[in-house]
Amino acid sequence: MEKTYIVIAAYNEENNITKVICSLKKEGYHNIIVVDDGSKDQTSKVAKSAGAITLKHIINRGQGAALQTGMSYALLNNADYIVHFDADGQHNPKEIKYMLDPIIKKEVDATLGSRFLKKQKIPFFRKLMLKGGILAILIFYRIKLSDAHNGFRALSNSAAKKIVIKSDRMEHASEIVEQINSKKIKYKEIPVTIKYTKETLKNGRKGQGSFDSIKILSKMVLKKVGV
Amino acid sequence: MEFVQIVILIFSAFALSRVFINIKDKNLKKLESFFWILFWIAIILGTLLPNVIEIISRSLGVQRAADLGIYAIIILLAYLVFRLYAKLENTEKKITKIVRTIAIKNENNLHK
Repeated sequence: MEKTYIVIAAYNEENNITKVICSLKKEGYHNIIVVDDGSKDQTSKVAKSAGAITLKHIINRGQGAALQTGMSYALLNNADYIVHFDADGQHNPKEIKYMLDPIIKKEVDATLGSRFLKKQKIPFFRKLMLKGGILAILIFYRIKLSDAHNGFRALSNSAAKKIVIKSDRMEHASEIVEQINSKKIKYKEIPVTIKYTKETLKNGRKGQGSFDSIKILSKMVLKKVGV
Repeated sequence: MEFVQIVILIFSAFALSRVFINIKDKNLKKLESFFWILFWIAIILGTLLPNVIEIISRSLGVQRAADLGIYAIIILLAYLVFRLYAKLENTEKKITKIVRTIAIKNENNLHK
């Protein structure tokens, strides 16, 4: 039986995490890793009692760092497939199978979720920022993606071994794309739905507000010039 | 000798002594020690022989010796900030590594 691990980076998500874990279990995914990234609330306890494998960062290190911790753990446990999934319930667990399908069929080694390949309502300001991100990825890495900053990804074991997230904070999304490109990992974009609720929009502001976008962009520039 | 020259000389001598103490305690790398000794000796020489600085700055196309000093210090500070930034990034990476190792170890211990 092939092992699929779902990796969720969570920061102060005690209100959402149980629902997310239960919905994943309902779809038949039982290897769920929740990396509690130094939450101030009871995220890790709640996740554990919901039945997830819980890894706790003793201090907050950022989403990139948390995802890498989850991936390292999954690889140590011989995961065949690793799925990155959001903690706030904006992704649909039913779509994991579409993300994994091309990898299981060995067509590609990585799939990236794209909200723009599916017709859906996206708040205007969010759309503007995401399009900016797509443009930045195109300029810096010469990769044309339809949605560059989607947290819904699936990787094969070999792809997960090749990708090492070094960016601790939010710029990991760009870094993963960059590594997929530089390490010549075959990838495909898969249409996914993103549920925008008050909660998910608030969370988005936590990491990808306009000020954070500038910070991410400046880090990308610094990295490009070798700093 | 002007008062300001005396202040700079005393401070430079103090800074130089700190460099030597740090070398003795093996806190500085070879290249760093060499750089800091040279730097403070240059400051001392420059303070004692302002005419030489004047000649150097003119030959570099800077009219006043004081301007040359300011330029040099700005470049030096920019370099030090850059080094500090690089070091900080490195330290952050190490912290993440420690936090990650603890997280994975704790989970594994639970299942032993």
